[in-house]
Amino acid sequence: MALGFISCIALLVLADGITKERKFSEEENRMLATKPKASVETVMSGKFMSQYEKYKSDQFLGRDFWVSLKTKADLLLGKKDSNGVFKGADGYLLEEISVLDEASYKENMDAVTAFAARYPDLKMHMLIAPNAANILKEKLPAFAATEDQNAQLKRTEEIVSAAGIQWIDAAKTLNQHKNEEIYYRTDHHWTTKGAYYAFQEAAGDLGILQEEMTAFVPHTVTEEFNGTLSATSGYERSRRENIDIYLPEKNDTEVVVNYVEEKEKSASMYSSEKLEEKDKYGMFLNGNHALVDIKTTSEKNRRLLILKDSYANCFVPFLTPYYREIVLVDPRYYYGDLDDLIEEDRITDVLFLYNGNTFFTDNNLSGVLASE
Amino acid sequence: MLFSSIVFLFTFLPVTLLVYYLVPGRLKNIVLLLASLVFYAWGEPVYVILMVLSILFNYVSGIDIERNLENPFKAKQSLVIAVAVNLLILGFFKYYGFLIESLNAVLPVELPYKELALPIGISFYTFQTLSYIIDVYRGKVQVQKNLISFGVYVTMFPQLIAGPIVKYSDVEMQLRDRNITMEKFGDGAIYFVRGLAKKVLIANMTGLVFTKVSAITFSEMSVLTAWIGCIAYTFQIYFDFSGYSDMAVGLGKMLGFEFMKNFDYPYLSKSITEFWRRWHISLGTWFREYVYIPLGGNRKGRERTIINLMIVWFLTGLWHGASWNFVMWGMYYGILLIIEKFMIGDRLEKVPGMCRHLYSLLFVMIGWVFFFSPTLGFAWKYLGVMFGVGAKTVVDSMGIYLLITNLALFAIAAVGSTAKVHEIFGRIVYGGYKVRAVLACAIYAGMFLLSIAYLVTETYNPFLYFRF
Repeated sequence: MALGFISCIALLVLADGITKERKFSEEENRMLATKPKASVETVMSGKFMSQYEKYKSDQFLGRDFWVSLKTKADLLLGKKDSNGVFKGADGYLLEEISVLDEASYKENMDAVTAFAARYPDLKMHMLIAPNAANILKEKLPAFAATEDQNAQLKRTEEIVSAAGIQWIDAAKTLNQHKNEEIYYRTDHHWTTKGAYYAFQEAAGDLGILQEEMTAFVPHTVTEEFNGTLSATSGYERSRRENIDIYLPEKNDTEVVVNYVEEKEKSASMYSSEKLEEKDKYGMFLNGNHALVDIKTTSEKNRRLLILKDSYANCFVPFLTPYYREIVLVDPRYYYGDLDDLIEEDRITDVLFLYNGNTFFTDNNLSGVLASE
Repeated sequence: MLFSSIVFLFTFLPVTLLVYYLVPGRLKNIVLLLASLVFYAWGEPVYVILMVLSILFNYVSGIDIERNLENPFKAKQSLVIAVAVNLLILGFFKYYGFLIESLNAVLPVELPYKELALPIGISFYTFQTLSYIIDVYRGKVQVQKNLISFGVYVTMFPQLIAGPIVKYSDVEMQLRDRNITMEKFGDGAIYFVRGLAKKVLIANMTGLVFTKVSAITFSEMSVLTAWIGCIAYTFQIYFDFSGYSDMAVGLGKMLGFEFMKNFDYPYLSKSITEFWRRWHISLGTWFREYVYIPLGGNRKGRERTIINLMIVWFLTGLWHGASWNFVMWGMYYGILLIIEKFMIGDRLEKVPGMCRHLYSLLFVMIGWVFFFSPTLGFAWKYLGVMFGVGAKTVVDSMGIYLLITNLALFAIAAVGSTAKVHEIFGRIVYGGYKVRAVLACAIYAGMFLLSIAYLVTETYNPFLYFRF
């Protein structure tokens, strides 16, 4: 027994010693801790020790092997969730529905109401996309209890409708299409198809006439997508999914996408270089940016401001034929003055586009909407 | 440093053991002392100085008491000073904030205070040095003139931060001379791996269930969910604490020491009295020997016995933490033990074993509610929900989901709380057949690897910037 124990430890110590240090984990999509430097200060405060422990376990050999061993053992014991992600039916991973953060929600709603009152001339709309665990309830493990997102949506609809903001009912149309591939299995986003259905529902509300609508055709851009829910939970790590983009059948509108803070311009809404990375959803509008300005060759004269999270990124391409300019603001990163922006860009329409889990826990929107 | 960490398992332990086994016998204590200081300083880079001062003080006090033993008055004086200083240090670091807070609650004034970080293991090592000082005074043990040996006694890393509370008299001989054999090392490895698995595989997993339940607001909690939370905690604390003790015993064996057993299947108890004979044995023994018996124990009549018991249990509660919950928890056991001792003791014997077992578990679980609650108010509310007062419903889908997905874990934990698994294992390992020994080896290796998998994944922490 002594020998067994010693050889077990010795073997792992040796093997660990000869493996090379990694800087980045593709699987977890994060930088791994590297060897910290000791100084009197960091040792006295204990900071060095905690960094060293993190370094040791981050760099421990065969991380991926240990992770899959653990996940298998968990499944064997009948565990059906991990890190806030349910292992649902048909390979669907479903993020737990967020509990509404009462304090920030109230601030956000007050700010939205005040914002609408401040700009009576702007046409305002709100689309809060329900999450997979809401629409695909049947896929959840038996008896899995989640928050009632529909109640959160209903409550929001009442508040914003009273403020004169038009509510776009995405839940209705997504429910109608819930047997189709409207959510990724391994990622927390909706698919482009899901976004497309939501767009069709939204079009009428946004004032886009039925006869102007162009038909879109899906094109698969990758078959190798394994999303963030898989990374967080450790489930379904070998599953690969498709990402589609929807292109108009004819007379494609040209665009110039301006990533304002990064001072970069692009003639496409798709960043194909992101397909080489782990988080391939970043292909849509190059991931999340504080401020993105899209100028189009559309002959319409409307200019749309979208306050949004990443659910908007695959939704925006459907809008380009109908707006001369679309300005995307992500309140989580944006520190500019919204009033100036509205004036300078001569905004005519505003759309709030979030997914429920982000929107009901967001604490950034109210700050951006407040007038100076 | 925790035993259940990658740094301990794959850096500290191999290096320490290697050096410890390579150096000749008389240097082993120095190696052990240095390693223990590093071990402690790793988690407490500043308070290690406090511990060194405490060692020096008690070392000198021991010599001082022994020198004065001829003169009972002077010896007693030295003892009182030594005990008082130890208790003051403990009191200052552990109870100062609590004391001021409690005073603020009853007095009209508002005393300002700054909560100090509690030095790891101070409750454990203070009790160890007290046992030494008192036993020197009683003439039960020889004074320790060798500072290294005394330092080893106080700092020994296997039991430094979570016990067992080793009495000086139990290791007096071993500090000088102990058996270090490969067989004992192997025995130690078994204890260690078993303890590690208890901690990582069962305590941490049941801990997750408990954390989940305790985050639910009371108005949303069903009776079933509350019970699942309480059961999860009941398992968590036993497997956590006894796992840690097993690792300590195992590491001790690897270094040639024999420590006392700290847990003896407490959840098999058929009375509360029995539970406390099986739970955290080293603490119970300590209080018995250094508080209860000196107070007169049960030899001064019924009334004094009751008072003595309440004092002991008040202190036991307070020892577990500076908060009224723990005091409440201690007093709760004091009262239960008094009831068992004086009122129902004999009658309990006549009740069928199964009922006595259920009775004990029920009261132990109620006790844990006081133990895990952040405030007394929380404890009352939680208990209320467990018994249907203020609960959402009796059964809800959250409760059923938690039950289904954790049933296997609870079943393993329940079986692991009994002596059965251990017995079966004993029969396999000590059956004398070579094949069986190999099988046991393989099972332990499997447990070890699985524990590592759970440990490594604890930090499996995908960076979440892309979740938006």
